[in-house]
Amino acid sequence: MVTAGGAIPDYARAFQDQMQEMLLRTQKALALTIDADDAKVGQTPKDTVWERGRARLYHYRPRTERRVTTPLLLVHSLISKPYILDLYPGGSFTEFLLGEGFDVYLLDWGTPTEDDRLLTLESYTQKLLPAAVRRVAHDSPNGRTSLLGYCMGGLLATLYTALHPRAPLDAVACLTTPVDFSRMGLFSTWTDKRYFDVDALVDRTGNIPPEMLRRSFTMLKPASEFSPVRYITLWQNILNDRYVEQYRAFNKWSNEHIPFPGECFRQVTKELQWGNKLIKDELVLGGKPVRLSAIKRPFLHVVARRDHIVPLASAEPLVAMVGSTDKKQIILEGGHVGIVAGRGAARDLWPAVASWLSERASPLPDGGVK
Amino acid sequence: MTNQPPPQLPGINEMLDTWRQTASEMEQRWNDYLNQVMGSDAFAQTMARSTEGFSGLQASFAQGMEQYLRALNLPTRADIAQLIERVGKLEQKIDALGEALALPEGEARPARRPRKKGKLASGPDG
Repeated sequence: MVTAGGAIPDYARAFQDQMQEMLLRTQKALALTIDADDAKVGQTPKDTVWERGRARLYHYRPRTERRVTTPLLLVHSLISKPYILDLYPGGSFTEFLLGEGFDVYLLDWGTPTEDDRLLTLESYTQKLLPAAVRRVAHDSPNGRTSLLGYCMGGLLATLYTALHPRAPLDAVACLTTPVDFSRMGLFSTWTDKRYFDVDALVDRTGNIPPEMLRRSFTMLKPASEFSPVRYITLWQNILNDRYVEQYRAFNKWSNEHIPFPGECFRQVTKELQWGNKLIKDELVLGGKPVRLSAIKRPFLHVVARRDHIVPLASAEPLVAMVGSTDKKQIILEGGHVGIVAGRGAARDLWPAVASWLSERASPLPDGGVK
Repeated sequence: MTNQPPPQLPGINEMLDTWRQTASEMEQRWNDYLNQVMGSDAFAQTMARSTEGFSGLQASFAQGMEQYLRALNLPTRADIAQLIERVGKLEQKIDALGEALALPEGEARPARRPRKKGKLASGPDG
């Protein structure tokens, strides 16, 4: 029974506050629903310094005094857009690297069209990437560069380094890069050569359509597609503008897959997925054998313990196989994308990679400081 | 008279936390279960058939569209792709010429003298 006193007005006020907050949340949620695709991504200022076909080499404008002599070339995957490495201001790996005094370049493979269907692993590792490395090294004060590859970008950087032992590289860092393709989880099952006709697919479609890639990735966690968890979390954090900005940017990225060049897909399926030739030391590209043991540059591999795209078992053997004496593997808690662009990335991955790379940068030719 | 803290209503956040936790556990269980189903040979076969159907449908549509464009005497996607390919080859030749003029042979290039202070804010002294 309600009695006289201060309780009724207090409860009423608390109720009123909660209703007001609820209205505010609803308003924000509606605004987010209406312009869900309007996330501002990849905003760090950059200039195009080289291009070939669809590929572009971007040079980011410095944000601070340069403290690391050797520039860093970011190599992205062929499956998604590269702005995951420059997601939003305050949540960007690229921005962090610039702040640490790195001179940063990005090799963006672009969005393949019909005429890119004939691109192969050789095109990337023996033509485009070497040309981009030459260009970065040419602009570098010590004539060298370092590489940082993410996911399949790490695979391309690894193949390139193995094929070019004299490349002007100071160090190579890879993030969540597969090497044992027999342990790619569901991807290995779905592309089983007893059932999966890669020739028919590539011959009919040219490039692999992005919807097909997107569907494959969502099928790795099918229940998550329909689960209310992310919406509940969003609702709880909807008054946190930074959280919402990250949510929007990440949502945009995860829905923006790009076509995969057909011939390259055929080659990856047959040579890597079916033949597992990289780990068996049997891969040959452009007539040259690819030996991971031929990699002598300092080598870092960061893998994610809860990676559902490139399972830990598929990525872990890489470091053991490279021939470098200076090599290291870091295992981070988190998922495939979370360790690079999630909330813990700025605490765990970014500083670890930046300090490892900066310690391995060559000094200037005249002995000047980094 | 003492200042009493305002009474707390049952928080919606606590309810959401409970809901999120329960939904998260269910999501994980469903993902594990569905992953088991999708990891079977039978599913791989079904998926391969569905991929084949999708690519076949796409190929038929592309073929139909090409015939339609040809009937209208308009360039098809393949024609434009061929044109782009030729432009691409020209670009590559120009790039190769540019690189041959700008860079010496081989992969490595002798280290360049450091830039003068002022041209690069972070450049070394001297």
